[in-house]
Amino acid sequence: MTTTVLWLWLVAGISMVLAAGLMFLWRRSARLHREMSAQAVRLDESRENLVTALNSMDALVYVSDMETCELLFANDYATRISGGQIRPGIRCWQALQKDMTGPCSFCQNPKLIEAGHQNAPHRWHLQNTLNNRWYEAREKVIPWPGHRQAKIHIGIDITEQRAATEALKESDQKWSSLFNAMQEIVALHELIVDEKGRPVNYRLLDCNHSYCQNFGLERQRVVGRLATEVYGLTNPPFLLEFSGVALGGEPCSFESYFAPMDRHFSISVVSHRKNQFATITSDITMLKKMQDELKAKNRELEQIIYVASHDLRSPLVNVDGYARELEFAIKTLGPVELWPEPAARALPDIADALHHIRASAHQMDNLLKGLLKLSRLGRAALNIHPLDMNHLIGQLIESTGFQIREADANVVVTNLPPCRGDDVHVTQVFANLLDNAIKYRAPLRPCEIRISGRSVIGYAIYTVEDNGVGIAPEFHTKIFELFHRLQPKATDGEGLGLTMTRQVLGRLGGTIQIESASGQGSRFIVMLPAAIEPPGDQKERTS
Amino acid sequence: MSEKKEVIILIAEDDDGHAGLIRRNLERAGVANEVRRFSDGQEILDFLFLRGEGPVRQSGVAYTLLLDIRMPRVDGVEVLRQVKNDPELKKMPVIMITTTDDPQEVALCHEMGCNSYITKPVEYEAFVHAIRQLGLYLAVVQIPEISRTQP
Repeated sequence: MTTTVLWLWLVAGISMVLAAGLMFLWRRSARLHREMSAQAVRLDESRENLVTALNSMDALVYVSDMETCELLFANDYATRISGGQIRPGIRCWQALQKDMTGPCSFCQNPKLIEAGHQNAPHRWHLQNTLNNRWYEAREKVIPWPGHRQAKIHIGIDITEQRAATEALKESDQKWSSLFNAMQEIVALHELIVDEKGRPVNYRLLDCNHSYCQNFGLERQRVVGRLATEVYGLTNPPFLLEFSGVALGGEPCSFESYFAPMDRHFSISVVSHRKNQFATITSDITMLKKMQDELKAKNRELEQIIYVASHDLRSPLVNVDGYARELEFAIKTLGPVELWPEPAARALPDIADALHHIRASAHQMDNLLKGLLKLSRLGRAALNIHPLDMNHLIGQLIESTGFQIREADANVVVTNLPPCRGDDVHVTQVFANLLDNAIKYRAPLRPCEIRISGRSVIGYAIYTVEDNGVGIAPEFHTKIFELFHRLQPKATDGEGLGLTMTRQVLGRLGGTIQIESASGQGSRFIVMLPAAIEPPGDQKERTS
Repeated sequence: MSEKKEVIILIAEDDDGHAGLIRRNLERAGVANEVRRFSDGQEILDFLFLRGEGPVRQSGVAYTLLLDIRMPRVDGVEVLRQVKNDPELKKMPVIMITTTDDPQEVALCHEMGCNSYITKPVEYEAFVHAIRQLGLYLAVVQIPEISRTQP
């Protein structure tokens, strides 16, 4: 009995212990289970958050198996560009590229395996065959549950940047090839100033091919170096001119002889940024040489005219002088009636011949005087300065007042812009034009003369317009020729006026043109270098 | 009582015709003075500076020089320069007679001390007038005698 009781107690005890143990275990497992499911929920949440984040990205994100290329994950962006092709088991090259029958030829997987997953992401640029857009791709090998190795791909659309970069590159190439193809010597510089801000030197920032060729320098020996080093000089060439542009910003051009190279240059300086400037230089040595030759030829020609006209006048003095002596001699012979027949008949003929000889000598003398005048004009010193044309023309009209009144001419002068020239020569030009306008007035209508002016860049343009007889177009070139006279019988003059006018204007850096038709009046257009002063307002003045 | 001595007119002119015309017109203008003609600048310089083989000027005689500018060997401007640089000869009136009326040349000659400047014009009346004036000038003006001594 006792034994039975004891057993019973023992069994009951063990059972209780077991029950308690089981209870404990069950409770524990239930807690574990609860904890695990909570963790799973959290994990799910976190995964969802991650996917939401990846889906909201404006970038292509996918994960694929390294071996099979099976897509393990693709974000919404990927789904969108694939056109809804993404489904379990599809490969990246099937869903995300166009008409592919196998892995992409440009697949970077071998490179990724080589790099392993410890290394930084592999970056490269590719064009997607579905939408033709350019992407900057970042790929990296990552572990993926259930797969030995997977690849994560993040592609950022860089089509616009790439286009901008391409455009920039193209433009850069364009300018660079232009820069180097230019015949002109082009260089960019930076001004160097001392502590007080005074320019002391300048540094070469860039130079073109022509620069290297002309100066016989290699680009590497020029760029980044000081002008004094590059040219081997104590004083940087043209520092004053260059610093004026670099600091003031106003472009300037000048011509200069560069002694170290024995060459003449025409240099344009522009500044695109404070303290920086570009020089565009042309070698004008040949041009200068030709100009000098031309000048020498012109001087020679003027000398010839001078000598010829002088030496030609000398025999003319004799022709006229002795013809005159003969006239005196005839006079001493007394009246014709007192002479016997042959002499009496010959004497009037002799007198007539002498008259013709002397008239021709006078005519020739006038022509030679004209030539002398012309040659003298070409040699006369010029005093060039800004001219107040309103004042100059005003004075001219005052001094020609008698002639104007006599012709009953009405001269209208509008406000005239200033110009640069020699006042004596410029006055001569307009005196000549005014004189012509009066001389060649139309007989049947009152003479109207209008002098007006306007400014264009670098020049002042004056117009002398009349309502006179006009000049037929076929004579427009002839009238500027030496000794050419349209109406030699009707008017007097040497036929030199317009020749001299054109010569004078040529020396002053100006031009003259004519617009006219026969019977329609004439318009002479005179162009002279502009003065620096600003032109005034348009006002009418009548004299 | 000082007796007015006859002035001798020297003509330096390379052109025979011109020299003849000047002579004739002087006569016609009533200038009866003795006239001596020289064919170029060198001849007149030799005469004035007592050099060479030919005739030379006399002491105590009053001379007036009509000088052409363009002459072979030595030109008129050079003759004028040498004459006006000589302390004795510079007293002698010099009248430039030339074919040009180049203002620069006229100014140069005046600067160098020429007394008058006549252009040889083809307009004969003007020339005759100029010569006549010269004749009057010669008649009125006391031409200084030139001493032979040279410093």
